[in-house]
This record gives sequence, structure tokens and C-alpha cells, in this order.
Amino acid sequence: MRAQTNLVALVLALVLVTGAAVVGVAVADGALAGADREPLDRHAATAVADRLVADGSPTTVRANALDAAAVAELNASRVEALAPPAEEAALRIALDGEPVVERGAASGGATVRRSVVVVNRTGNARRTIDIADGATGRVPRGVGRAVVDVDPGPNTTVHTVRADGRVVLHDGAGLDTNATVHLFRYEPTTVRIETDPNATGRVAVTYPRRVVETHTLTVTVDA
Amino acid sequence: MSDRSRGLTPVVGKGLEAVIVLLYVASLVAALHGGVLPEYRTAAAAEVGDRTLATAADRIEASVPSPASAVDVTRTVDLPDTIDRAAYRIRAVDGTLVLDHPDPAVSGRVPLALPERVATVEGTWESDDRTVVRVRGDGRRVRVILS
Repeated sequence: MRAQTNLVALVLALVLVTGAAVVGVAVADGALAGADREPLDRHAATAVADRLVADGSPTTVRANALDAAAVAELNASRVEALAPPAEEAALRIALDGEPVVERGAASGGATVRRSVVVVNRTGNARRTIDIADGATGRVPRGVGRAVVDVDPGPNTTVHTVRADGRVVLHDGAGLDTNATVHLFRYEPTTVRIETDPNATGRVAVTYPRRVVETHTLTVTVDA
Repeated sequence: MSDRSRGLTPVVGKGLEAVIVLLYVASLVAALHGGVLPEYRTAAAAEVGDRTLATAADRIEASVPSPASAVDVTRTVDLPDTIDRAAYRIRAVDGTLVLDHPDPAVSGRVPLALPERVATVEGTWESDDRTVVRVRGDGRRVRVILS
């Protein structure tokens, strides 16, 4: 009878060891499944986001500044041409949640976010300055070049046009011209006219108008 | 029951126990090494292969600098020496990175996303050798060489 007790204990021990082994295998299974980070999806999403915001890319005006017109024309095949890793994968590109490009249903996969500005060029802005000695006009920040159209009235001689004190146009005999001048783009510029007292006429400054907005670019790729 | 068989009972009982334990351990080892372990090894190797390929592609893409009149970049890329105890090779073919491994489940390919000024990507990396990416070029055309 004592031998039988031993046998029961042995069988119980073996059952416990089996249980421990099964639990161990299950935990290992879970760890292996949890370690699957889909590196190729992540690579594809990173590649698409990086190529979209890179300096010199057809969709940007400079690094991290998207061109609104190019973004509006974006589609899946253009994205593929830009970033081949996204080939044949479900793809979703969104700006602040607004879908820009969508192909297939990218449910899982990898998501990459980038903070970008979207530059919208909406035609030209025109600022007119009535000519008088010391008359000034302001050009906003972000304008690198502007067209200055000097149109003096009768008996008026405009000698100099300055941008923030720097001489950009000068003619001792009088200006009557339409010229492109370069401005410092990182600060607002003050355009100043130097002429005789009692002068009349107009100076028009024309520059491209830009609306700049900050958005979050989200790229999801699910191969 | 005779006295002699009474004396034998504990011996037979212990012997039986020992045989049962031995059989049990043998079957457990067989189950783990025969089914579970190789399966895990293959799954882990495929995952490491994917990661190696993605890492290599990331490093190559990151080593191309922004446009400049002269480009000369040399970077060491850290890759695992072996995957599933076998050496492998990474090749650049037509703008695609190809991983050659004796096990087809580990092998794979991934296209590279490079700027248009990159004219060619060429070369081969052996996993047990030095893995260096070189980028050479001028303002218009850039070459990427794996060596």
C-alpha cells in the first residue's frame, strides 16, 4: 500500500511539471507574437513620410514645408514613385486626420507622424504706397522677392527706394521703373521712398501671398 | 504472499518509478526539441531577417545627405553576424535591397526610397565581413556603394 502512495505522488508531480511546461510554452508563444513589430511596414511608412517632407522633393517648397497645390494632386502612384517601399501595400496619408491619399484599408500596420507646415500660394498681394518723401509700406515676413513698380506723378523725381534702410533701387535722375528686388525673408520689411517734397504718384509693391498652416502629417502603411 | 516476494516489492516499485520518470523526461525533450523549438527558431529567424533588412535600408537611406556640391560619406552599418546560425548576404539590385539566406523563409527584399539624384546603388555585404556604406558624388549625381 505504501508503494501505491508513492506512485500517486509521482503521477501528481509529473502532471504539475507538464502543466508548468505548457504554461512556459504558452508564455513563449505570446512573447514571440508580441515581438512582431512589422519592421518592413515601419520602414515603408518612414520612407514615405521622409520622402514627402524632404528638401527638394516635388511635394515641398523647402524641408518640412509642403506645397498645398502639390499635396492636392498627390495620389497613390505618385507616392509609390517617390517612395518605392510603399508598393502594393495598403496606404493612408492624412493631414490632421483629413485623408490626402487612401488606398486599400490600412487597419493595422505602422504609423509615422511628422509635424509639417503647408504653404498655400494664393496669387499675388499688392501694396500701394502714395509717393511722399519718407513714405513707407510694409511687406510681411516670408517674402524673398517682390516687384516694385515706381510710377511717379508729374514734376516728381523718386531718387531711392530702400528696404529696411538698404538701398534696393536708386537713380539720381529719377526712377520710373518696374523692377524685382530681393528682400530679407525672415523678418517683415519696411519699404521706404525717398523723393522731393510735394511729390505725387504711386509705388506698387507686388509679392506672392502665402498662407502657412501647421499640420500633422500621418502616414500609415499596412503591407 | 511469500516472504521473498514481499522483499521484492519496494525494489520493483522504485524501478517502475524510475522508468516512468525517464520515459516522461524523454517524451518532454522530444516534444520540445522536435516540434516547439525549431518552430520558434524559424519564426525568430524570419523576424530577425526582416529587421536586418529594414535596418540596412534605413541606414542606407539616412546616409544620403542633402544636396551639396561634393558628397563623400562613409558609414559603418551594424548587422547581425548570423541569422539562425547561418551567414547571409545583402545585395543591391536595381534600387532594391535583397537578403540572401540559406533558409528561403528568412530571405527577402525591400525597395529603397532614395532621392532622384541617386544614380546607382551597387555592391554586396557579407554578414561576417565589414559592412560599410559609401556615398560619393557631386551636386547632380550621387552613387551609393555597399562594401
